[in-house]
Amino acid sequence: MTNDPMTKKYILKPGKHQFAPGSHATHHNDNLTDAEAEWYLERYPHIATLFEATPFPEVKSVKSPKIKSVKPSSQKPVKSKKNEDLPATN
Amino acid sequence: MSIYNKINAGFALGTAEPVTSGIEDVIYIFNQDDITLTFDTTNPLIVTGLTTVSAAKIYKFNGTNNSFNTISKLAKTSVGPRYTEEIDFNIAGLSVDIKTQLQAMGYGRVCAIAVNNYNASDSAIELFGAVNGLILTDAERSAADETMDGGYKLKLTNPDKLREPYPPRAVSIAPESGSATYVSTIAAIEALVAA
Repeated sequence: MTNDPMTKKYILKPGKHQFAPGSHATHHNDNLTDAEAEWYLERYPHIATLFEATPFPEVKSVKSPKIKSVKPSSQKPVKSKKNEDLPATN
Repeated sequence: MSIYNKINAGFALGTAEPVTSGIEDVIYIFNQDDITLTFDTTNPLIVTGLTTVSAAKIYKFNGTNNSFNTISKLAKTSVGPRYTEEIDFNIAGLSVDIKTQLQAMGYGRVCAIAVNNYNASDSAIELFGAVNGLILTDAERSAADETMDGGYKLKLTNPDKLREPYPPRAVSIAPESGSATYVSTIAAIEALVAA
């Protein structure tokens, strides 16, 4: 239950934060230990954005979906009919 | 303990940024349960961050012709000053969806952000209902009324027997790097507005 700023894993962004809507804004770096941070993160995952970029082993980060390269389909491209092959309509 | 009952600054009148009246014809409203607030470390009158809970959003109500208004009024009590808040706005429409939103605002508590026309100050963008929320107390539609032309005349106020312990908070959200400005705050709010 250390709160040493040099060894802390979970660093809050500046300010006093509410962790739940409507609660009193009491949480800041000076009073939040790593153990507390993990407890709150588990129950209120939305607060992950309130922390500076620190490793979150428990919180799954939302990865942007990988864009797969579109392979050319194995089907042969269907050649469009030439104008002269089209049936005359008039 | 901070000295809360001693003033420590005066005010000098100048011509550089004279105050002007009115708020912009837009009100940002969100459910009180949907967003957590971050306050300045030393000054609880400044909101420095809005964080959504799950996929919650802020909803934007547009108006026209300088027809929106906000009122904050000190109420003297036996335990110190409290503040009553009112937001007058309107909806120039009539639909089931509008009625649904108005009904929800009558039951649930919301918070509202107003943008002052006077945007040269650090309190240009104000949050109402930060502690106790606001509810819809007036929703009047007079079909033949010429001034509203059949639109809804609305008022958000503190719930019964509740007042705010602070004046309206200033919203001041910094960009990724740098200090907070009017533009960065509007951008942060707009980023949370429902499409």
